[in-house]
Amino acid sequence: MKSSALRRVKREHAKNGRAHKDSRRHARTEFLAPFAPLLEQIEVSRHADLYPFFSTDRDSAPNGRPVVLVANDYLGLSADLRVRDAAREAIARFGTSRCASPLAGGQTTLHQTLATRLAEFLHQEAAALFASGYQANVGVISALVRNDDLILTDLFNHASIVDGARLSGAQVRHFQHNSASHLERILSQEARGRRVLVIVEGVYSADGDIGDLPDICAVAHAHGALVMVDEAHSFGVLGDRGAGAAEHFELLDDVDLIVGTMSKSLASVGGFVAADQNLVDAIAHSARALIFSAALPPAAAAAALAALEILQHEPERRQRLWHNARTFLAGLAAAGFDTMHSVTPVIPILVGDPVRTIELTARLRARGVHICPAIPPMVPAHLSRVRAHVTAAHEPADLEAAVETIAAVGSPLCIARVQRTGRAPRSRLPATAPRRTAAMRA
Amino acid sequence: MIVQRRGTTRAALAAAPLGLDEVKRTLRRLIQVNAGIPGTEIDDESSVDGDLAMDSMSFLALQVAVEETFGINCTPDEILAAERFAAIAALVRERAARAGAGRAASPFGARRTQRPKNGAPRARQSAKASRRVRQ
Repeated sequence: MKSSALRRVKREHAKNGRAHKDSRRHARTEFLAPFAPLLEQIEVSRHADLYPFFSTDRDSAPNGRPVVLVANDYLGLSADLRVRDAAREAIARFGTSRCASPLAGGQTTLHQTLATRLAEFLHQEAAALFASGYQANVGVISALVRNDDLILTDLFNHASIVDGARLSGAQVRHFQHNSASHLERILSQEARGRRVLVIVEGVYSADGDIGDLPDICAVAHAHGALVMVDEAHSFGVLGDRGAGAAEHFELLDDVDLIVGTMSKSLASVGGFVAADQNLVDAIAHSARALIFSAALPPAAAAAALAALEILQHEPERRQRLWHNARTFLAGLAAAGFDTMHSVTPVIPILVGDPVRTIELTARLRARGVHICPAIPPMVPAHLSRVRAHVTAAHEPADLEAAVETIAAVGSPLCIARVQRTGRAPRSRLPATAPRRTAAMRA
Repeated sequence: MIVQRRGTTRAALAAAPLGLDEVKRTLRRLIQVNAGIPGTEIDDESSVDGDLAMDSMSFLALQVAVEETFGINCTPDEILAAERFAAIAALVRERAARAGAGRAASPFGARRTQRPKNGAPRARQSAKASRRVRQ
């Protein structure tokens, strides 16, 4: 019966091929309808030579020596010879990929060593590795939290946290950025004996400010909630040993779950979660983002392991990073730019509307300064900005030149001046003032 | 500045039910701060599809700010469903009145104003830490 139905469809198709073609085209049009404004923007910006995304300009460096401010390579280790050699050796010994899930033997001894070292470094009992930082957040949250639970997440948390929370099926409530008092109010009213997971970040990637871990941990623990910290932008950057924001606030023993990525300070790719042995076991055997994904390639694990070693033994890299960040921040402030709340190597420059943001990005790139634009849906339109990531590998002279270029290009676009006269200076707003909403989470 | 004004709102909340005009005034300010829409351009008939159109991140920021400022619970969907500025203000006022009444009777009332027990050492720690960062 089934085959006869199939035969009928095929016969009709042969008879009426053109109509089928039309209906296929129609289906495609239907699916593309919501993207119409986006596709138009892409076409317009490509036509005007302003298109800023998926750029590979860094390969060729057309203008002599470009200043690259888009990479999260905070300690400048992605070009380090020791890290490169480690990756090369791993490929020679284990091949390019184990082509299997971690559960099915996709990991090597390198992976195990890396997980152990990460756990030790973070003062946790164990760690599990994911193929990306995004998967780590999605996997951990959706594995731990069930339908009846409550997730309390900072308004500025990263998209991966938002997606993990959605996938878990639990009730999700946002609290005002860095506001322990708002968190406390929601906990008092909504916890009602439920299991609660509070999720914050060490350094927030859109504004470059630091999470208020002491107050938030205290409030969360007073209400019996579990605290998860995403150290993506703080690992290797904050803390006496570079272990992140939890170490910076002397809270390594107080946070319950530390999630991080290897694609920033560790100059590789991949994600991890570090916590108590039982928590890590539970996650490693049930997180779908871990089980149903191929394991991290051996070369990536080896690079991260080598970078972790260097991170621990060369604290001068972190000092250089902070020196560079302060120099760059001070330079921008002196030139009159609004760097929002940044106190870290993640440095936004407020522009105020998406079009000028794209224009600034393109003009800067033409003059050898690579910087990434943040426009809706990553941030609200009126808080559109470009975002610079300063690293330990930058030469101070290059950063000074970059500030000069940004000032030269930004002035005709009235970026610095508009912010000065058009709005209240943002630096005077309290840290809890609702000013921005972060990365791609709408 | 904003802290002070927000404080005024809180004090007013505690003392008496909010007047509709005051709710509207505060709401205008929150919309301006969170969505960049000038308060002067908002009237009762402004709708979330028209004058109050904003991107999703601005909208979420606004919803969270409304919750925190007025001490109420309201979902993004509820604000969207109210649609017009006047209706949103009415919704917020009604919730605030209910929250205010509930707060007086709530067993959580006292607890909420309590400082966390070991607040002092933590504050010191945090101040030290931020000095380290800013130096």
